[in-house]
Amino acid sequence: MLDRSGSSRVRSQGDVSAFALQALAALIEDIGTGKTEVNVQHLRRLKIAVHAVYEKKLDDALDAMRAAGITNREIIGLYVPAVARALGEDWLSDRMDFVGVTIASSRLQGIVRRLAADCLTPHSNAPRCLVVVPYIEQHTLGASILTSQLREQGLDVQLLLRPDPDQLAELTRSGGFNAIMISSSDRNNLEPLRTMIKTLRTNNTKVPILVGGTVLEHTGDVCRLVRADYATNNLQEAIRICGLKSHTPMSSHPAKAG
Amino acid sequence: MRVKEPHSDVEPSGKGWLIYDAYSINTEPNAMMTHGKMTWSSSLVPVIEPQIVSQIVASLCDVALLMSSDGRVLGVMINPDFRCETDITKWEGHALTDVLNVESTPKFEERLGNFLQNDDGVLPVELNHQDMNGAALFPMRYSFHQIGTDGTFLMLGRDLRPIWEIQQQLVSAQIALEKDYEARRENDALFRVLMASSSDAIVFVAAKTGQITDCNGVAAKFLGRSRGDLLDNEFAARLGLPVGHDLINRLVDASSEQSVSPVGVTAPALNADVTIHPTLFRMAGAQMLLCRLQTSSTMTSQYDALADSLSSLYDDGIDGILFASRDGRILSANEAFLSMADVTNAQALRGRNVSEFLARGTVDQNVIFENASRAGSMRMYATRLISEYGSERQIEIATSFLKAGTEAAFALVIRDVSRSTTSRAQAQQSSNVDMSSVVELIGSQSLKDIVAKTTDVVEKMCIETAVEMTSNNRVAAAEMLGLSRQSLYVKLRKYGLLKKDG
Repeated sequence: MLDRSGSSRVRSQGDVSAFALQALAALIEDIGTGKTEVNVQHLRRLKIAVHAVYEKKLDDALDAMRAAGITNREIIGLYVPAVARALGEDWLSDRMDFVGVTIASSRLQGIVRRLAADCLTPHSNAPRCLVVVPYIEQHTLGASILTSQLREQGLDVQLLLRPDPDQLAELTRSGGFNAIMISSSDRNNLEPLRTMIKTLRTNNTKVPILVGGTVLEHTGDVCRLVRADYATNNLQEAIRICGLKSHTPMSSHPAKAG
Repeated sequence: MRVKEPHSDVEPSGKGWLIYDAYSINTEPNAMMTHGKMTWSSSLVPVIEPQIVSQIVASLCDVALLMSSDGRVLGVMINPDFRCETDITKWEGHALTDVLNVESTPKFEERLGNFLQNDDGVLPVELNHQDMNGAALFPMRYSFHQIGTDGTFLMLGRDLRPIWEIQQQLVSAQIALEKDYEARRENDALFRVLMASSSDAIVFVAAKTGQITDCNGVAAKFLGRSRGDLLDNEFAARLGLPVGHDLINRLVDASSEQSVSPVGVTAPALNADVTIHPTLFRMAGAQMLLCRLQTSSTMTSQYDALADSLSSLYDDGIDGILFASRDGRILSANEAFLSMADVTNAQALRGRNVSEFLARGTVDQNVIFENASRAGSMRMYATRLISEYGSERQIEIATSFLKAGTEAAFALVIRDVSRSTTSRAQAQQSSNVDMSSVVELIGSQSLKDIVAKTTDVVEKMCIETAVEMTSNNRVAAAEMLGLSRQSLYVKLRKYGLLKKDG
């Protein structure tokens, strides 16, 4: 709506309008048109529910969120990462042990799996994107969220979790990817990541390789150290860097979705 | 019972421990616990050799560290059962952070600070050790214990490797699950493409219930109903066969024979003879039938040409068509809408409201219905459709108010404009990126002025758009913008938007 009506007003109101429209366009591109703030009560309820013994609590929490008008996209993109961060903080302050954190993370991943729009099939000419979690990694939640968000943008995404070197070489030999995104959280040891990127490069010389995840909190310049092309944790930036264009996914009927 | 708090001074001597002072004497003999704290009774005052103390401490935990207040390891005691390939007694003299990984270091430093300030109530801390070269070692859970007045303290560590191994198994199981899910997703995609591209009418039927569990678009067309109207309904009934018809038994029998023979039935609902080619298989312990349908004679249409075209538009049209009652209840929706909204079953729409699928909910619904009932129609209303799975897409709705039937209803034609929006947005963006005008602007005014004016323009544009969208319905516009009616009025006046409509 803004696009359509905006252009005529720009001419009548001069430069400030053009600038404002540009600002709005940038704002929309950066934060999307969806909500960016979480509802604290729902967040708290979801966090409690991922620890609950019975899964019904989780179902109830999700139902309540849906009833409050929170979309699956918001649950996946805002609430699940927020709960994951809170779990990390709980571990840091020893309010929760690492087994508790692992189980809760696994539940969060289950949420992403259930709510991700798996009924969407990319168009045949949609850009192909590979999302990889290196072999030594413990955390796959970030990659699952990223995959679901890229798929929602209509991209054809292949998610590869902890592949061994042979698997990785075989897949990348077949090529055809427009971008490769690596999700890594190991800030201690960059060597496996660098080795993996070297393997990926062998067969994909021109494909941009991006690195994201908490690995970017490493003290050094991760991008240079692991010889990636780019390092970012911003989805829109990643899409822009890779020159990927979103497509509207084709909708087809899922056999069953929960 | 009167009990004195325990008091002891322990000081390291090499790798052993010296006790300078025994625990204070208790007035009552043999008292061991009071208020949950350990104390000694007079007759049990320990006089223990330093070496024995070391052994006792080590046996209480897997690793005991005697620490200085600046976080250095003064002494290491190891339980004989603790397995470790690295010689951790070499930690002595080093800061503990030298053998902690990057996540554990700040965690330990913070906890140490808390402990030194207030030794009570500090939670045990889980730390991941690494060797001096940065190679990962093992996770430990340490509790902190004040032992003297000279600032030294004890950290009693439990080896978390057994739990860590379970956690690794959990992580592996989780990843295996994710991999399975990805594989299933691929199979789903193959199945859907196969079903959609097949020129045969294919229906899956559960042999036990006789209900249709899935079908392709060709089959839906063949049976003259939307896919949603077929799923979970009885196959025989959808062919117009009477209740109790033995169709399913005949199909099972036919497919169980050595040479599978087709089953022919006259389907009253289709006004045609239908040939069914069944294949029997088992899935999740239940018998399923895959039925390929063929017509044996030409179907006679019960509609005239216009009705036929309209019906075809409803069934096969690219735009979503939805009929709703005046209170917003969905009366019927076509396949295109079901597909847009990711609703698998038309029955799932029964009793539901149009507003549930619109991004602004009842605000959208009220705007559309009020305008359409007043003017007879409302064209090109832009909003977003929220699918059953929460995904969103840009849509435009053209609404007509129908008075044809016994009750008035609204007909909504819903067009997916997300693809065109994408191209429009891209075109818009490229024409907007004119940095030279921004450069000029920056030279001419202060940042504060630019920001204030930009804010005003943005505000005005949003308000204008909301007013346009709601056809000047200020209540709806205010609700859409999250403003009170009063605030909206003030802003309308501020931007000179009141004159337009008086």
